[in-house]
Amino acid sequence: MVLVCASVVGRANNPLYFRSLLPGGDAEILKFQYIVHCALDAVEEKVTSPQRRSGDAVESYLGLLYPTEDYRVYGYISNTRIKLMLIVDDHVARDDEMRQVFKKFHQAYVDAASNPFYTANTPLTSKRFDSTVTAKLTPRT
Amino acid sequence: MEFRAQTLENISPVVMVVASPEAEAICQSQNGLTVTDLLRPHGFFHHLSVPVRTVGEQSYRIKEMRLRFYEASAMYQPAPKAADDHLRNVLSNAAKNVADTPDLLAAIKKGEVPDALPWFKKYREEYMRMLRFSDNETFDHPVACLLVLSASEPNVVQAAEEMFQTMPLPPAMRDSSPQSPVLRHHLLLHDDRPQPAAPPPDSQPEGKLAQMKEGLGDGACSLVRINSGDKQRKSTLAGLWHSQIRSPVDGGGAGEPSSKPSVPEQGYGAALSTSDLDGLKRSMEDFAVRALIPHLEGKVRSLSQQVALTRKGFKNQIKTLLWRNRSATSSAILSSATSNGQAETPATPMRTPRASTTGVFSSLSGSQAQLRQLADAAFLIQDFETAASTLRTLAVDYRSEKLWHSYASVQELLGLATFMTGASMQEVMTHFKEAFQRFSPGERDTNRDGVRYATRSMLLLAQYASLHGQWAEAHQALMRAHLQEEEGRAAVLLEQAALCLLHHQPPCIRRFAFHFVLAGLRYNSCNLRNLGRHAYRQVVGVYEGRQWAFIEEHLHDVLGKQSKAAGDLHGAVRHFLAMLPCPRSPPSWQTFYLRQFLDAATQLAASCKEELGPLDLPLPLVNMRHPQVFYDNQTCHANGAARAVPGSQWRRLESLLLPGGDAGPNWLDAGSKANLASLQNEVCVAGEAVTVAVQLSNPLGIPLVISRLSVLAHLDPLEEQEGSAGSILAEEVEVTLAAGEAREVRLQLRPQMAGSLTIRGITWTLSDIARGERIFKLPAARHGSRASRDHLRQPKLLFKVIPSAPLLQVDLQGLPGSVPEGALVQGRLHLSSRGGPVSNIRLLAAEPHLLLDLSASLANSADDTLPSSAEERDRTAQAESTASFRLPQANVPNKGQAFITSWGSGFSVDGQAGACSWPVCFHPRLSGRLLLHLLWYFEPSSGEDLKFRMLRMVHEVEVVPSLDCRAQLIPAPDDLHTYLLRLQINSLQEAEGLELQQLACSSPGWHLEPLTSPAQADSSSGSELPSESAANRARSIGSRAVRLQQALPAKLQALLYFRLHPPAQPLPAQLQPDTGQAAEDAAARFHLQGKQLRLAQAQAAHDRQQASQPKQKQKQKERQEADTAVQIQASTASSNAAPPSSAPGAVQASQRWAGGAPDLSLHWLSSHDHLPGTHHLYECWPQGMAGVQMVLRGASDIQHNFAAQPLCRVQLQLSLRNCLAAEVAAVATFGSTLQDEASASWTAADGGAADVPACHTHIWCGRKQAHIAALPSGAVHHIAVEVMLTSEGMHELNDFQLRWKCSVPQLSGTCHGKPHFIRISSQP
Repeated sequence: MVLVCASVVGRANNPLYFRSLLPGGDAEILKFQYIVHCALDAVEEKVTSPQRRSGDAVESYLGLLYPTEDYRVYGYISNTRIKLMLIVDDHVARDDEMRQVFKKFHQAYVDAASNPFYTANTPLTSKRFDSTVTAKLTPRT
Repeated sequence: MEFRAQTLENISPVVMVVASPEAEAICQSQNGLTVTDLLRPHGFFHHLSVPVRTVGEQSYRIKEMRLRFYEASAMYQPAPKAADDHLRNVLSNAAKNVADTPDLLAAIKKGEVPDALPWFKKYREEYMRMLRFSDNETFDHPVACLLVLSASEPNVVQAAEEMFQTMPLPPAMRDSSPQSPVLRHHLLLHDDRPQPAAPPPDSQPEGKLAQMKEGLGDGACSLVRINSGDKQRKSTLAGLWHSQIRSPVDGGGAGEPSSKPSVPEQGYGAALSTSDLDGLKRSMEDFAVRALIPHLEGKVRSLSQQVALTRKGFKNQIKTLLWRNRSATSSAILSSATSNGQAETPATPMRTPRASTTGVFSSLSGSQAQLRQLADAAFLIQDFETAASTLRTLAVDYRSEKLWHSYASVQELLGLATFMTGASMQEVMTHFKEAFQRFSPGERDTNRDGVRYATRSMLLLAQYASLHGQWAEAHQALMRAHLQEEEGRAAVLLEQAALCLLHHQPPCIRRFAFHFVLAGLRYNSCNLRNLGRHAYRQVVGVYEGRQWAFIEEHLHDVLGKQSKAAGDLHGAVRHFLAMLPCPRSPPSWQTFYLRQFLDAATQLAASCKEELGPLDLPLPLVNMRHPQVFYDNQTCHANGAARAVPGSQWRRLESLLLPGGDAGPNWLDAGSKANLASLQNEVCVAGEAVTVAVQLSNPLGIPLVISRLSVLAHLDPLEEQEGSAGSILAEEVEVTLAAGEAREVRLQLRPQMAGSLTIRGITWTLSDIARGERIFKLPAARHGSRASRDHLRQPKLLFKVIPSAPLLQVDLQGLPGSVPEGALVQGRLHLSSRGGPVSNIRLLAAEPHLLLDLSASLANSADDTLPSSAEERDRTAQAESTASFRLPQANVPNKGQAFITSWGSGFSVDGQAGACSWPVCFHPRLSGRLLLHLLWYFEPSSGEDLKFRMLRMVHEVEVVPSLDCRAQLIPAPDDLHTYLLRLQINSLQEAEGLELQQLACSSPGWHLEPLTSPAQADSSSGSELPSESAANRARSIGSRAVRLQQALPAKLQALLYFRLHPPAQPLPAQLQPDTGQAAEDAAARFHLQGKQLRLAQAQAAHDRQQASQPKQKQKQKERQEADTAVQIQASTASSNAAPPSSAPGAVQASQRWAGGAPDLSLHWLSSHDHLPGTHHLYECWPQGMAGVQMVLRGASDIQHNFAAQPLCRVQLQLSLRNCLAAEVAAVATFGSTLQDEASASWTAADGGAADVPACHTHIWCGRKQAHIAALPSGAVHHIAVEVMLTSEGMHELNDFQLRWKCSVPQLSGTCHGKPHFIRISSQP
């Protein structure tokens, strides 16, 4: 599994954080922005009509959202409707593996959002969050 | 169109049309139509009821049928490249009308999403047409051949035979088996135009038809008359052919010849009449019902019998198996030859038969070919059950032989057949998907044909699914198809797939947008830029304002560049404009975006050859919701600081200055609500500035140059002034906003005449090129009480402009920005007017720091600023100084006072020439930021709308601390009358020193005397005035001031000591304070003013307290208050604390105090700029003072010979002074029996010998107690006492005390005697 992009999308579907883990520059970011924006439809679809039975617990991990020719987008939604999305450059990403990655990602986001100087639903500019994302989420698994 | 109808139209019997040149000439010359085109609209029969029985026992009825007419020469499939080029042309033509497409985002909001884009339907039809006449399918093969001849042929039978023999056959017919002959029919075309000469009887069309029937058969001939209409008229029937006539493909084929006649001016079918068309239709219907359907029915039966013969029985099965093996090999070879595209379309396809086009049907007698023919024929005659069952059998065969291409074709038709038989959607879609999968080439296969047919099957599936509401299936099918297609063909599939997403619930707008972006990308890559631009433009709104900055910039960048390249400069400017607010982009990008936009704007302006209209420029950011508007009307503001003061504070001051105490109109003045509303409208004055303050900010990292920034406003003049132009003067401002800078900019405009003024917004020019304009958008009013408050707080943008009125102009000169506390600054006040004379001027100063000397104006009459003429000087002299203060209203909480100066009604100021000036003195007595609130009242001489005007002024002065001056007053220990004053002066100056000039006592009757004892503080020194020292010493008691001449460096302290002599008798209250001497100079006037203020404040506090108390307790309170006042004096006297001047009853207390408290003023001079200054010390109450003062006096150094006389008798005197304002009774007690004092009687008579105690060194002689029954206020009483001393040495006499009591009010106290020392030395 190779993570190529990590993003945090706010409640109003506005990007709060966007990080390309590939050395492609702005062209890569543009491509990933298109893909992540497109995958938001799948998030809404999964949130409004969840595919679970009545007794199942609500799960934050949304699974595969949007497959493209080269990438796959996986999603995770927090209780505060913040969407965490990862683009994977691999077609065989296991769900339990993705769950672990998203938990790390979510924890990093919670740490960054707990900063008293951070205003909710505004772009995340924390360097610590950025370094956490690049260090912990990059493919070592 | 429903899918069923479309299927019946696409797969219907084909009639091959072979027309003679004469017949073509008759048709084309008059109507612009080929014979085939003429017949096409008449191939649809919808009211049939033809019984048909094919393979089963049951018959059915055909109720509607379509015939497809094709020219024999065009019945072949065009080459793939030609087909692709044709499809590209279809898209190119669609791109020309792309501007007419609806806005999809708007359609989504309305819930009216179109099923397909306008060009998709056309593209799909053309795509299907390009794949007709396939080798794998026989439903495009001709069922009948229609020979069309002209009725003018001399021998029609012979001509028909020759034509049939020499006609070019389409590829599918060249190898047709004798078992399936083509139906032959003849159509005689007669030109029904009036002929110049009547034709011979044997050349009549009816005769020709009879000949024809006789020679060719009765049912195989028919006559049609055309051109009976008026060719000169514009055709009303042209609409019949618009949907039937297709554009030709390069190289011909696909049912259309390579060239077509041009469209005539009158339109298609101009010479045709309705009767012509009716005859044509009747003829074709007869042909279909009587000839074609029976022929097709027989064909199906024949094929069915052949299939039964070849497929049934063990023998046939063995044969089939063997045949399969052979056929598989040959078919594989033929398929590969076809799929490699080596089969080029021949230039003359009919004359040079292609071996490769035979395909799997090269031998129509083959078992599988017969099956396919049977299936197709059954489909054409609408026997769908037979078609489906036959196709299933065929599919098994092909599948087992792995003839995948043929198998896929069968699956595709099977999908349609099962749909027509009413099978489930799942089954139908499975067939289409199977067809797609089998058509699709492998990864290494570059077979274009397979892709084309695969796409066709997905198009069919998408259409079927979408028409049945299965939008997800349709989207999936189109997405699968587009992955194999290229360039524009893939783009159009993507677009349609994206459109399917909008039919989801909820609509997947983001995915739709992404697909459109991808489609636009593909369109651009294949140079279909109009369609690419359309795709981007449709979705740019999805990303707007949602902070997806990269996407937004990308779309606008592409759209802007494409628009510019296409010559659409307006569009380029619009898109480049949208790229400007990009705060997250690096500055180099921002610079590039700005330059790009400015270039486009420059080009657009040059192309328009006039000034570019205002744009909705996003730079700079302007807060259009909360502008601030400042204006003057009856109330004017001299400076910005005056506007910053809350209006309530000004209104409170105005209520003191206005004659009636009312500042605005009320409902009584208005008479009605409407009039009141008009009175309360925002009013401004013509010719005076209306200032609009807007917040500008630059979000970019590069500077922005903004020029010609001004207010947009509109003035409607009054009716009688209509027609006047140039009625507003708007100030234009240039601003350069640095990177990230936010600034408030104030813009002025001046309406030049009365009317109605509307402030709309602002306009500016960015970088001197692009003009921007924004309209103010005030927040909408809300309901409820809070809404009304918001409404009041909102700025008003609609004004009533009244005619101009004179305005007073005030200039206060000489006030520095920073002064030390207590300084006396001399300034000058200039008054002038603008627009006419003003009179009845009054000034209200809210703070007591400014003193205006109107009397000095006469002394300064020689000044240039004063009126020069004698008349004006006289008028100025009438100005009267009525400097007085008036307390604000009792119900207005106001800590300060208002000082009003009036110039009188006879005084007026007219213009700059009639300006006047007066000296003013500024004396701040509090440190900190001091605001001087000045309110001017004046009455304009002209202007009916304004009877008076108010001018608000605020001057801000920073007052720095200079001195901390504290006075301590104690009773002199050796004197009953005087006090000792300890003055502690701390310099608070940071750097500059001061010079203490003199200390003055302004209280009447008090006198000041310096103490020159060497015991004074080390750093202090008090000295009398040297020049007047003799006089002062001569009348040292009567001196009122002491000159100090002492330098006080910064941050140091000085201690000065003085003796104060109170007045001998309490002075009447009306004499306090002494104004006679105090009015000599400005400092004295300020001192007097301060004293008055203290008295006024105390009185006001007292009044407020009384007003707050209930009336029933008023008398009781007054009594208690009187008692409290004296008790305060008594308690403070015993506790050595000065009475607080602000305490309740302080006025009464000061009146009952015998001597009162002196007021002092300390004058100093700044050593740096020699600025004079004064500090005032009011009511220095003495500390440690009892109600009755006493002092023991007598000899203190005595020589005595104890040897001669063992006791030394010393005469002493105890002096008492009543310091209270009331009469007291006192008892003085001497000796050590103070414990008996409690039993002492106030009324006991003098007398009684004192017991001589044995243990004391001194013995009081005579009376033990002395009673003073009544001691008047201020009176002094002396008691002579004797004391006996028994030894040498120092004796301390302190065992005496005084108890006093006041009857009215009830007061009492005890005063212990201060020690008196007596030294006894032995006498030699």
